Amino acid sequence: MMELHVWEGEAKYGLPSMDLKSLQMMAYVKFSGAPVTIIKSSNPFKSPTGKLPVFKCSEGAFSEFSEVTTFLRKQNFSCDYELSARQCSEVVAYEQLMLEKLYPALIYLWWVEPKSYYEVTHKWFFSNMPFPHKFWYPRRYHQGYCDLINSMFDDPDDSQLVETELHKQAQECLTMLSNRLGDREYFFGRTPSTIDAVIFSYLALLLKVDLKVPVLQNHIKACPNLSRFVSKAVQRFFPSEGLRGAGSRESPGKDDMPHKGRNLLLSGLVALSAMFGYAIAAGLVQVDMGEQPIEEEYDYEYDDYNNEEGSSGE
Amino acid sequence: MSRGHNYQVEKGRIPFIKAGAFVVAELDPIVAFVANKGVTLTEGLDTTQKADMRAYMSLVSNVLANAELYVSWVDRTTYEEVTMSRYGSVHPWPLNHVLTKQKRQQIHRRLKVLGWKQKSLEEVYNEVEHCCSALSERLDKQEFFFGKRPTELDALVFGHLFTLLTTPLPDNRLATIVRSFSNLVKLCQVIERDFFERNNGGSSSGNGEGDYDKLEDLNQLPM
Repeated sequence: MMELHVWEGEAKYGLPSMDLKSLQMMAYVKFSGAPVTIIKSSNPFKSPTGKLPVFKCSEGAFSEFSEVTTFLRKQNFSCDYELSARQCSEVVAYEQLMLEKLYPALIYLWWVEPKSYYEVTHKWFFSNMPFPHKFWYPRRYHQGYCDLINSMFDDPDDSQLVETELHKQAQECLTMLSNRLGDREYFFGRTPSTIDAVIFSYLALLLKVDLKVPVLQNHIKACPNLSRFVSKAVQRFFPSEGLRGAGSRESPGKDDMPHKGRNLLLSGLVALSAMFGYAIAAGLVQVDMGEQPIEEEYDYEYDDYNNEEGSSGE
Repeated sequence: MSRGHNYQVEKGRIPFIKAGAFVVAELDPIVAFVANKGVTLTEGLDTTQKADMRAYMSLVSNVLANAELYVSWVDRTTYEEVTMSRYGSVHPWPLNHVLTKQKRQQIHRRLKVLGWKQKSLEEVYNEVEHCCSALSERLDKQEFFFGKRPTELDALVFGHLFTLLTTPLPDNRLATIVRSFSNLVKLCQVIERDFFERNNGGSSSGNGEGDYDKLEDLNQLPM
Protein backbone atom coordinates (compact mmCIF):
# COMPACT_ATOMS: atom_id res chain seq x y z
CA MET A 1 0.00 0.00 0.00
CA MET A 2 1.58 3.26 -1.09
CA GLU A 3 -0.24 6.55 -0.78
CA LEU A 4 0.89 10.02 -1.68
CA HIS A 5 -1.05 12.87 -0.11
CA VAL A 6 -0.43 16.14 -1.91
CA TRP A 7 -1.66 19.70 -1.96
CA GLU A 8 -4.67 20.25 -4.18
CA GLY A 9 -4.25 21.62 -7.66
CA GLU A 10 -5.92 24.60 -9.21
CA ALA A 11 -8.13 24.03 -12.22
CA LYS A 12 -7.97 27.71 -13.16
CA TYR A 13 -4.23 27.36 -13.86
CA GLY A 14 -4.34 23.75 -15.10
CA LEU A 15 -1.95 22.67 -12.36
CA PRO A 16 -2.08 19.24 -10.70
CA SER A 17 -0.85 20.78 -7.44
CA MET A 18 -0.13 24.24 -6.09
CA ASP A 19 2.94 23.15 -4.15
CA LEU A 20 6.52 22.62 -5.29
CA LYS A 21 7.32 19.45 -3.37
CA SER A 22 3.92 17.93 -4.13
CA LEU A 23 4.47 18.46 -7.83
CA GLN A 24 7.97 17.01 -7.60
CA MET A 25 6.78 13.83 -5.91
CA MET A 26 3.75 13.45 -8.17
CA ALA A 27 5.92 13.83 -11.25
CA TYR A 28 8.47 11.34 -9.91
CA VAL A 29 5.78 8.81 -9.10
CA LYS A 30 4.24 9.18 -12.55
CA PHE A 31 7.62 9.03 -14.33
CA SER A 32 8.71 5.92 -12.47
CA GLY A 33 5.37 4.20 -13.00
CA ALA A 34 5.07 3.14 -9.35
CA PRO A 35 1.58 1.99 -8.28
CA VAL A 36 0.97 4.84 -5.87
CA THR A 37 -2.46 6.26 -5.06
CA ILE A 38 -2.35 10.04 -5.23
CA ILE A 39 -4.78 11.71 -2.83
CA LYS A 40 -5.34 15.45 -2.99
CA SER A 41 -5.80 17.24 0.24
CA SER A 42 -5.57 20.70 1.69
CA ASN A 43 -5.11 19.96 5.33
CA PRO A 44 -1.53 19.36 6.53
CA PHE A 45 -2.92 18.95 10.06
CA LYS A 46 -4.07 15.41 9.26
CA SER A 47 -0.69 14.32 7.90
CA PRO A 48 1.42 12.13 10.20
CA THR A 49 4.48 14.37 9.64
CA GLY A 50 2.47 17.57 10.02
CA LYS A 51 3.38 18.48 6.45
CA LEU A 52 2.10 18.09 2.95
CA PRO A 53 3.06 16.31 0.74
CA VAL A 54 3.43 13.09 2.65
CA PHE A 55 4.20 9.63 1.30
CA LYS A 56 2.71 6.80 3.34
CA CYS A 57 4.07 3.30 2.97
CA SER A 58 4.93 0.22 4.97
CA GLU A 59 8.10 1.86 6.28
CA GLY A 60 6.40 4.96 7.63
CA ALA A 61 5.63 8.43 6.37
CA PHE A 62 8.07 10.60 4.40
CA SER A 63 7.85 14.27 3.53
CA GLU A 64 11.25 14.69 1.83
CA PHE A 65 11.75 14.10 -1.87
CA SER A 66 15.03 12.21 -1.38
CA GLU A 67 13.43 9.85 1.16
CA VAL A 68 10.64 9.02 -1.27
CA THR A 69 12.99 8.38 -4.19
CA THR A 70 15.22 6.21 -2.00
CA PHE A 71 12.25 4.16 -0.81
CA LEU A 72 10.83 3.72 -4.31
CA ARG A 73 14.24 2.72 -5.65
CA LYS A 74 14.40 -0.01 -3.01
CA GLN A 75 11.02 -1.23 -4.32
CA ASN A 76 12.54 -1.24 -7.82
CA PHE A 77 10.65 1.80 -9.03
CA SER A 78 12.93 4.42 -10.49
CA CYS A 79 13.13 6.55 -13.60
CA ASP A 80 16.92 6.69 -13.61
CA TYR A 81 17.76 3.15 -14.76
CA GLU A 82 18.87 4.25 -18.19
CA LEU A 83 21.25 6.93 -16.92
CA SER A 84 25.00 6.47 -16.79
CA ALA A 85 26.86 7.07 -13.53
CA ARG A 86 27.96 10.44 -14.84
CA GLN A 87 24.39 11.45 -15.67
CA CYS A 88 23.28 10.40 -12.19
CA SER A 89 25.94 12.72 -10.79
CA GLU A 90 24.59 15.49 -13.01
CA VAL A 91 21.13 14.93 -11.54
CA VAL A 92 22.55 15.67 -8.09
CA ALA A 93 24.28 18.80 -9.38
CA TYR A 94 21.23 20.17 -11.20
CA GLU A 95 19.03 19.59 -8.15
CA GLN A 96 21.39 21.86 -6.22
CA LEU A 97 21.46 24.39 -9.05
CA MET A 98 17.67 24.71 -8.86
CA LEU A 99 17.85 24.98 -5.09
CA GLU A 100 20.42 27.74 -5.25
CA LYS A 101 19.12 29.79 -8.17
CA LEU A 102 15.40 29.17 -8.72
CA TYR A 103 14.08 28.21 -5.30
CA PRO A 104 14.74 31.58 -3.63
CA ALA A 105 13.13 33.44 -6.53
CA LEU A 106 10.07 31.18 -6.51
CA ILE A 107 9.68 31.52 -2.75
CA TYR A 108 10.11 35.26 -2.97
CA LEU A 109 7.52 35.70 -5.72
CA TRP A 110 4.94 33.46 -4.04
CA TRP A 111 5.33 34.16 -0.35
CA VAL A 112 7.31 37.34 0.24
CA GLU A 113 6.46 39.83 -2.50
CA PRO A 114 3.40 41.46 -0.90
CA LYS A 115 1.14 41.94 -3.93
CA SER A 116 1.31 38.36 -5.15
CA TYR A 117 1.24 36.98 -1.62
CA TYR A 118 -1.97 38.72 -0.60
CA GLU A 119 -3.76 38.55 -3.92
CA VAL A 120 -2.72 35.10 -5.15
CA THR A 121 -0.93 32.84 -2.68
CA HIS A 122 -2.65 33.73 0.57
CA LYS A 123 -6.00 34.00 -1.16
CA TRP A 124 -5.67 30.52 -2.63
CA PHE A 125 -4.52 28.81 0.55
CA PHE A 126 -7.08 30.69 2.62
CA SER A 127 -10.00 29.71 0.43
CA ASN A 128 -8.89 26.09 0.01
CA MET A 129 -7.95 25.12 3.55
CA PRO A 130 -10.57 23.96 6.07
CA PHE A 131 -11.89 26.35 8.67
CA PRO A 132 -9.68 26.71 11.72
CA HIS A 133 -6.43 25.82 9.98
CA LYS A 134 -6.68 28.49 7.29
CA PHE A 135 -6.01 31.18 9.87
CA TRP A 136 -2.80 29.57 10.98
CA TYR A 137 -0.91 27.72 8.23
CA PRO A 138 -0.62 30.35 5.45
CA ARG A 139 0.62 32.90 7.95
CA ARG A 140 3.17 30.47 9.37
CA TYR A 141 4.49 29.55 5.92
CA HIS A 142 4.72 33.24 5.06
CA GLN A 143 6.80 33.91 8.17
CA GLY A 144 9.13 30.98 7.54
CA TYR A 145 9.76 31.95 3.93
CA CYS A 146 10.33 35.61 4.85
CA ASP A 147 13.01 34.45 7.30
CA LEU A 148 14.62 32.39 4.56
CA ILE A 149 14.83 35.32 2.13
CA ASN A 150 15.97 37.72 4.86
CA SER A 151 18.80 35.42 5.86
CA MET A 152 20.16 35.53 2.31
CA PHE A 153 20.74 39.26 2.14
CA ASP A 154 22.73 41.79 4.12
CA ASP A 155 20.02 44.37 3.76
CA PRO A 156 16.70 42.54 3.38
CA ASP A 157 14.65 45.73 3.79
CA ASP A 158 15.79 47.02 0.43
CA SER A 159 13.14 45.04 -1.46
CA GLN A 160 14.11 46.53 -4.82
CA LEU A 161 17.65 45.19 -4.48
CA VAL A 162 16.46 41.80 -3.25
CA GLU A 163 14.01 41.46 -6.12
CA THR A 164 16.54 42.49 -8.78
CA GLU A 165 19.16 40.08 -7.48
CA LEU A 166 16.75 37.12 -7.23
CA HIS A 167 15.35 37.79 -10.69
CA LYS A 168 18.83 38.03 -12.16
CA GLN A 169 19.89 34.70 -10.66
CA ALA A 170 16.67 32.98 -11.71
CA GLN A 171 16.82 34.31 -15.26
CA GLU A 172 20.42 33.15 -15.65
CA CYS A 173 19.36 29.76 -14.42
CA LEU A 174 16.37 29.56 -16.78
CA THR A 175 18.57 30.49 -19.74
CA MET A 176 21.03 27.76 -18.76
CA LEU A 177 18.23 25.21 -18.49
CA SER A 178 16.93 26.23 -21.89
CA ASN A 179 20.42 25.81 -23.37
CA ARG A 180 20.86 22.50 -21.62
CA LEU A 181 17.51 21.12 -22.80
CA GLY A 182 18.06 22.18 -26.41
CA ASP A 183 15.75 20.33 -28.80
CA ARG A 184 15.50 17.21 -26.71
CA GLU A 185 12.23 16.00 -25.25
CA TYR A 186 13.65 15.49 -21.77
CA PHE A 187 16.92 16.52 -20.15
CA PHE A 188 18.59 13.16 -20.68
CA GLY A 189 17.03 12.16 -23.97
CA ARG A 190 13.76 10.44 -24.69
CA THR A 191 12.63 9.25 -21.26
CA PRO A 192 11.99 11.40 -18.20
CA SER A 193 14.28 11.07 -15.18
CA THR A 194 14.48 12.48 -11.67
CA ILE A 195 15.90 15.73 -12.93
CA ASP A 196 12.90 16.23 -15.19
CA ALA A 197 10.58 15.78 -12.20
CA VAL A 198 12.51 18.41 -10.24
CA ILE A 199 12.80 20.95 -13.04
CA PHE A 200 9.20 20.38 -14.14
CA SER A 201 7.88 21.30 -10.70
CA TYR A 202 9.70 24.64 -10.68
CA LEU A 203 8.88 25.56 -14.26
CA ALA A 204 5.21 24.55 -14.01
CA LEU A 205 4.60 26.75 -10.97
CA LEU A 206 6.44 29.69 -12.48
CA LEU A 207 4.82 29.34 -15.88
CA LYS A 208 1.21 28.48 -15.04
CA VAL A 209 0.37 30.70 -12.09
CA ASP A 210 -0.34 34.32 -12.94
CA LEU A 211 1.51 36.33 -10.33
CA LYS A 212 1.53 40.09 -9.98
CA VAL A 213 5.21 40.21 -10.97
CA PRO A 214 5.32 38.17 -14.19
CA VAL A 215 9.03 38.62 -15.03
CA LEU A 216 9.97 34.96 -14.73
CA GLN A 217 6.73 33.76 -16.32
CA ASN A 218 7.53 35.90 -19.35
CA HIS A 219 11.10 34.62 -19.36
CA ILE A 220 9.91 31.01 -19.55
CA LYS A 221 7.40 31.91 -22.25
CA ALA A 222 10.30 33.46 -24.17
CA CYS A 223 12.13 30.09 -24.08
CA PRO A 224 9.84 28.00 -26.31
CA ASN A 225 11.57 24.72 -25.45
CA LEU A 226 10.97 25.21 -21.72
CA SER A 227 7.28 26.05 -22.06
CA ARG A 228 6.85 23.14 -24.46
CA PHE A 229 8.59 20.88 -21.94
CA VAL A 230 6.07 21.89 -19.25
CA SER A 231 2.92 21.65 -21.34
CA LYS A 232 3.96 18.30 -22.81
CA ALA A 233 4.64 16.86 -19.37
CA VAL A 234 1.26 18.09 -18.07
CA GLN A 235 -0.54 16.68 -21.11
CA ARG A 236 1.17 13.34 -20.97
CA PHE A 237 1.30 12.63 -17.23
CA PHE A 238 -1.59 14.68 -15.87
CA PRO A 239 -4.09 14.56 -18.75
CA SER A 240 -7.15 15.41 -16.65
CA GLU A 241 -5.54 18.61 -15.32
CA GLY A 242 -4.62 19.84 -18.78
CA LEU A 243 -8.20 19.49 -20.02
CA ARG A 244 -9.71 21.01 -16.93
CA GLY A 245 -7.31 23.91 -17.15
CA ALA A 246 -8.35 24.63 -20.72
CA GLY A 247 -12.07 24.27 -19.98
CA SER A 248 -12.43 26.33 -16.83
CA ARG A 249 -10.19 29.21 -17.81
CA GLU A 250 -13.20 31.12 -19.10
CA SER A 251 -15.10 31.07 -15.84
CA PRO A 252 -12.78 31.85 -12.97
CA GLY A 253 -14.14 33.00 -9.65
CA LYS A 254 -16.83 30.32 -9.48
CA ASP A 255 -14.60 28.30 -7.17
CA ASP A 256 -15.19 30.64 -4.25
CA MET A 257 -18.93 29.99 -4.22
CA PRO A 258 -19.28 26.58 -2.48
CA HIS A 259 -17.56 27.89 0.65
CA LYS A 260 -19.42 31.16 0.78
CA GLY A 261 -22.64 30.00 2.46
CA ARG A 262 -20.77 27.93 5.00
CA ASN A 263 -18.40 30.76 5.83
CA LEU A 264 -21.33 33.14 6.30
CA LEU A 265 -23.04 30.72 8.66
CA LEU A 266 -19.84 30.15 10.64
CA SER A 267 -19.07 33.83 11.04
CA GLY A 268 -22.70 34.43 12.11
CA LEU A 269 -22.38 31.73 14.75
CA VAL A 270 -19.08 33.13 15.99
CA ALA A 271 -20.54 36.65 16.25
CA LEU A 272 -23.63 35.41 18.03
CA SER A 273 -21.71 33.38 20.58
CA ALA A 274 -19.33 36.30 21.20
CA MET A 275 -22.23 38.67 21.83
CA PHE A 276 -23.96 36.20 24.08
CA GLY A 277 -20.74 35.53 26.00
CA TYR A 278 -20.24 39.23 26.56
CA ALA A 279 -23.82 39.64 27.74
CA ILE A 280 -23.34 36.90 30.34
CA ALA A 281 -19.96 38.21 31.45
CA ALA A 282 -21.28 41.74 31.89
CA GLY A 283 -24.32 40.54 33.80
CA LEU A 284 -26.84 41.85 31.30
CA VAL A 285 -28.44 38.43 31.09
CA GLN A 286 -28.72 36.19 34.13
CA VAL A 287 -29.00 32.51 33.51
CA ASP A 288 -28.59 31.37 37.09
CA MET A 289 -31.92 30.11 38.33
CA GLY A 290 -30.69 28.47 41.54
CA GLU A 291 -30.42 31.61 43.63
CA GLN A 292 -33.96 32.81 43.09
CA PRO A 293 -35.61 30.78 45.88
CA ILE A 294 -32.92 31.75 48.40
CA GLU A 295 -33.50 35.38 47.66
CA GLU A 296 -37.20 34.84 48.12
CA GLU A 297 -36.65 33.07 51.41
CA TYR A 298 -34.40 35.83 52.55
CA ASP A 299 -37.01 38.34 51.52
CA TYR A 300 -39.59 36.51 53.56
CA GLU A 301 -37.33 36.50 56.54
CA TYR A 302 -36.55 40.13 56.08
CA ASP A 303 -40.23 40.87 55.77
CA ASP A 304 -40.88 38.79 58.86
CA TYR A 305 -38.16 40.58 60.70
CA ASN A 306 -39.55 43.88 59.57
CA ASN A 307 -42.99 42.79 60.62
CA GLU A 308 -41.71 41.60 63.98
CA GLU A 309 -39.83 44.83 64.50
CA GLY A 310 -42.86 46.74 63.39
CA SER A 311 -45.12 44.79 65.71
CA SER A 312 -42.77 45.11 68.72
CA GLY A 313 -42.38 48.79 68.01
CA GLU A 314 -46.09 49.26 67.91
CA MET B 1 42.79 33.88 8.47
CA SER B 2 44.95 36.92 8.05
CA ARG B 3 45.05 40.16 9.99
CA GLY B 4 43.08 41.95 7.33
CA HIS B 5 40.00 40.69 9.04
CA ASN B 6 36.65 40.79 7.30
CA TYR B 7 35.24 43.19 9.87
CA GLN B 8 37.15 45.99 8.20
CA VAL B 9 36.20 45.13 4.65
CA GLU B 10 33.23 46.81 3.12
CA LYS B 11 30.15 44.57 3.40
CA GLY B 12 32.26 42.16 5.44
CA ARG B 13 33.00 39.83 2.57
CA ILE B 14 36.25 38.12 1.75
CA PRO B 15 37.98 37.46 -0.64
CA PHE B 16 37.80 40.67 -2.60
CA ILE B 17 39.78 42.41 -5.33
CA LYS B 18 40.45 46.10 -5.63
CA ALA B 19 40.71 47.54 -9.11
CA GLY B 20 40.82 51.28 -9.20
CA ALA B 21 37.48 52.54 -7.93
CA PHE B 22 35.95 49.05 -7.74
CA VAL B 23 35.88 46.70 -4.82
CA VAL B 24 34.51 43.35 -5.92
CA ALA B 25 33.93 40.60 -3.39
CA GLU B 26 33.18 36.87 -3.61
CA LEU B 27 33.76 34.38 -6.39
CA ASP B 28 30.81 34.97 -8.72
CA PRO B 29 31.11 38.75 -8.95
CA ILE B 30 34.88 38.51 -9.28
CA VAL B 31 34.55 36.02 -12.13
CA ALA B 32 31.97 38.26 -13.83
CA PHE B 33 34.14 41.35 -13.30
CA VAL B 34 37.26 39.76 -14.71
CA ALA B 35 35.26 38.31 -17.61
CA ASN B 36 34.18 41.86 -18.47
CA LYS B 37 37.86 42.69 -18.93
CA GLY B 38 38.22 39.78 -21.32
CA VAL B 39 39.83 37.27 -18.96
CA THR B 40 37.84 34.06 -18.73
CA LEU B 41 38.45 30.40 -18.07
CA THR B 42 35.38 29.13 -19.88
CA GLU B 43 35.81 30.31 -23.47
CA GLY B 44 36.44 26.74 -24.63
CA LEU B 45 33.11 25.48 -23.26
CA ASP B 46 29.81 25.28 -25.13
CA THR B 47 26.53 26.43 -23.51
CA THR B 48 25.66 22.95 -22.26
CA GLN B 49 29.01 22.56 -20.56
CA LYS B 50 28.67 26.02 -19.03
CA ALA B 51 25.31 25.03 -17.59
CA ASP B 52 26.81 21.80 -16.24
CA MET B 53 29.66 23.75 -14.69
CA ARG B 54 27.23 26.15 -12.93
CA ALA B 55 25.25 23.19 -11.65
CA TYR B 56 28.31 21.57 -10.11
CA MET B 57 29.35 24.91 -8.64
CA SER B 58 25.94 25.11 -6.97
CA LEU B 59 26.44 21.61 -5.64
CA VAL B 60 29.78 22.55 -4.10
CA SER B 61 28.66 25.85 -2.65
CA ASN B 62 25.41 24.43 -1.27
CA VAL B 63 26.62 21.17 0.19
CA LEU B 64 30.30 21.61 1.02
CA ALA B 65 29.99 25.22 2.22
CA ASN B 66 27.04 24.45 4.48
CA ALA B 67 28.71 21.32 5.79
CA GLU B 68 31.81 23.38 6.64
CA LEU B 69 29.68 25.95 8.45
CA TYR B 70 27.85 23.18 10.28
CA VAL B 71 31.03 21.51 11.46
CA SER B 72 32.73 24.75 12.52
CA TRP B 73 29.79 26.46 14.22
CA VAL B 74 27.16 23.89 15.18
CA ASP B 75 29.26 20.90 16.20
CA ARG B 76 30.13 21.66 19.83
CA THR B 77 33.58 20.08 20.01
CA THR B 78 34.90 21.74 16.88
CA TYR B 79 33.36 25.06 17.86
CA GLU B 80 34.94 25.09 21.30
CA GLU B 81 38.32 23.67 20.35
CA VAL B 82 38.94 25.35 17.00
CA THR B 83 36.47 27.92 15.77
CA MET B 84 36.18 29.99 18.93
CA SER B 85 39.89 30.74 19.20
CA ARG B 86 40.39 30.89 15.46
CA TYR B 87 37.67 33.43 14.83
CA GLY B 88 38.17 35.44 18.00
CA SER B 89 41.96 35.62 18.07
CA VAL B 90 42.25 38.57 15.70
CA HIS B 91 40.18 40.81 18.00
CA PRO B 92 41.19 42.39 21.32
CA TRP B 93 39.67 41.04 24.52
CA PRO B 94 36.01 41.88 24.92
CA LEU B 95 35.42 41.94 21.19
CA ASN B 96 36.66 38.42 20.59
CA HIS B 97 33.83 36.97 22.69
CA VAL B 98 31.14 39.36 21.50
CA LEU B 99 31.88 39.06 17.81
CA THR B 100 32.29 35.30 17.92
CA LYS B 101 28.91 34.91 19.69
CA GLN B 102 27.31 37.26 17.20
CA LYS B 103 28.72 35.37 14.24
CA ARG B 104 27.63 32.07 15.75
CA GLN B 105 24.05 33.28 16.18
CA GLN B 106 23.99 34.58 12.64
CA ILE B 107 25.22 31.28 11.21
CA HIS B 108 22.85 29.24 13.36
CA ARG B 109 19.93 31.31 12.08
CA ARG B 110 21.04 30.82 8.51
CA LEU B 111 21.56 27.08 8.80
CA LYS B 112 18.20 26.77 10.52
CA VAL B 113 16.22 28.35 7.68
CA LEU B 114 18.19 26.30 5.16
CA GLY B 115 17.21 23.14 7.02
CA TRP B 116 20.79 22.21 7.93
CA LYS B 117 20.75 22.90 11.63
CA GLN B 118 18.21 20.13 12.20
CA LYS B 119 20.57 17.54 10.68
CA SER B 120 22.74 15.31 12.79
CA LEU B 121 26.51 15.26 12.32
CA GLU B 122 26.20 11.85 10.70
CA GLU B 123 23.69 13.18 8.14
CA VAL B 124 26.05 16.04 7.34
CA TYR B 125 28.91 13.61 6.69
CA ASN B 126 26.60 11.61 4.43
CA GLU B 127 25.75 14.73 2.43
CA VAL B 128 29.46 15.48 2.01
CA GLU B 129 30.16 11.95 0.88
CA HIS B 130 27.26 12.09 -1.58
CA CYS B 131 28.55 15.38 -2.97
CA CYS B 132 32.12 14.15 -3.28
CA SER B 133 31.01 10.99 -5.06
CA ALA B 134 29.04 13.08 -7.58
CA LEU B 135 32.11 15.29 -8.16
CA SER B 136 34.41 12.30 -8.43
CA GLU B 137 32.04 10.66 -10.93
CA ARG B 138 32.08 13.81 -13.07
CA LEU B 139 35.86 14.25 -12.88
CA ASP B 140 36.48 10.61 -13.72
CA LYS B 141 39.99 10.21 -15.13
CA GLN B 142 40.31 13.68 -16.63
CA GLU B 143 42.96 16.12 -15.49
CA PHE B 144 40.42 18.88 -14.78
CA PHE B 145 36.60 18.83 -14.74
CA PHE B 146 36.31 20.07 -18.31
CA GLY B 147 39.32 18.60 -20.05
CA LYS B 148 42.84 19.91 -20.11
CA ARG B 149 42.21 23.43 -18.83
CA PRO B 150 41.01 24.41 -15.37
CA THR B 151 37.72 26.32 -14.98
CA GLU B 152 35.99 28.19 -12.15
CA LEU B 153 34.63 24.87 -10.96
CA ASP B 154 38.15 23.52 -10.49
CA ALA B 155 39.04 26.64 -8.52
CA LEU B 156 35.98 26.29 -6.29
CA VAL B 157 36.44 22.57 -5.71
CA PHE B 158 40.14 23.06 -4.99
CA GLY B 159 39.36 25.79 -2.47
CA HIS B 160 36.96 23.64 -0.52
CA LEU B 161 38.66 20.27 -0.74
CA PHE B 162 42.16 21.60 -0.08
CA THR B 163 40.88 23.27 3.09
CA LEU B 164 39.11 20.11 4.19
CA LEU B 165 42.23 18.02 3.53
CA THR B 166 44.73 20.29 5.26
CA THR B 167 42.84 21.70 8.27
CA PRO B 168 43.39 19.65 11.41
CA LEU B 169 40.10 19.21 13.31
CA PRO B 170 39.22 17.25 16.46
CA ASP B 171 37.22 14.89 14.28
CA ASN B 172 38.93 14.33 10.93
CA ARG B 173 36.04 12.49 9.29
CA LEU B 174 35.71 15.20 6.62
CA ALA B 175 39.33 14.75 5.51
CA THR B 176 38.88 10.97 5.57
CA ILE B 177 35.81 11.22 3.32
CA VAL B 178 37.62 13.43 0.81
CA ARG B 179 40.68 11.19 0.88
CA SER B 180 38.60 8.18 -0.12
CA PHE B 181 38.09 9.74 -3.58
CA SER B 182 41.56 9.42 -5.06
CA ASN B 183 40.88 11.40 -8.25
CA LEU B 184 39.69 14.43 -6.24
CA VAL B 185 42.82 14.32 -4.09
CA LYS B 186 44.91 14.10 -7.25
CA LEU B 187 43.13 17.18 -8.65
CA CYS B 188 44.05 19.12 -5.50
CA GLN B 189 47.67 17.99 -5.76
CA VAL B 190 47.92 18.94 -9.41
CA ILE B 191 46.47 22.40 -8.82
CA GLU B 192 48.68 23.00 -5.81
CA ARG B 193 51.79 21.89 -7.67
CA ASP B 194 51.10 23.77 -10.91
CA PHE B 195 49.71 27.02 -9.59
CA PHE B 196 50.81 27.56 -6.01
CA GLU B 197 54.32 26.21 -5.57
CA ARG B 198 56.73 29.11 -6.13
CA ASN B 199 60.06 27.33 -6.65
CA ASN B 200 58.49 25.31 -9.41
CA GLY B 201 59.98 26.55 -12.66
CA GLY B 202 58.81 25.62 -16.14
CA SER B 203 55.88 26.54 -18.27
CA SER B 204 53.13 26.58 -15.65
CA SER B 205 54.71 29.32 -13.53
CA GLY B 206 55.36 31.24 -16.72
CA ASN B 207 51.67 31.08 -17.43
CA GLY B 208 50.95 32.20 -13.92
CA GLU B 209 53.10 35.29 -14.35
CA GLY B 210 51.29 36.11 -17.55
CA ASP B 211 48.02 36.04 -15.63
CA TYR B 212 49.40 38.30 -12.93
CA ASP B 213 50.40 40.83 -15.59
CA LYS B 214 46.86 40.87 -16.89
CA LEU B 215 45.47 41.36 -13.38
CA GLU B 216 47.85 44.28 -12.82
CA ASP B 217 46.47 45.92 -15.93
CA LEU B 218 43.11 46.01 -14.21
CA ASN B 219 44.55 48.36 -11.60
CA GLN B 220 45.20 51.00 -14.20
CA LEU B 221 41.57 51.52 -15.07
CA PRO B 222 40.29 55.07 -15.31
CA MET B 223 38.96 56.15 -11.96
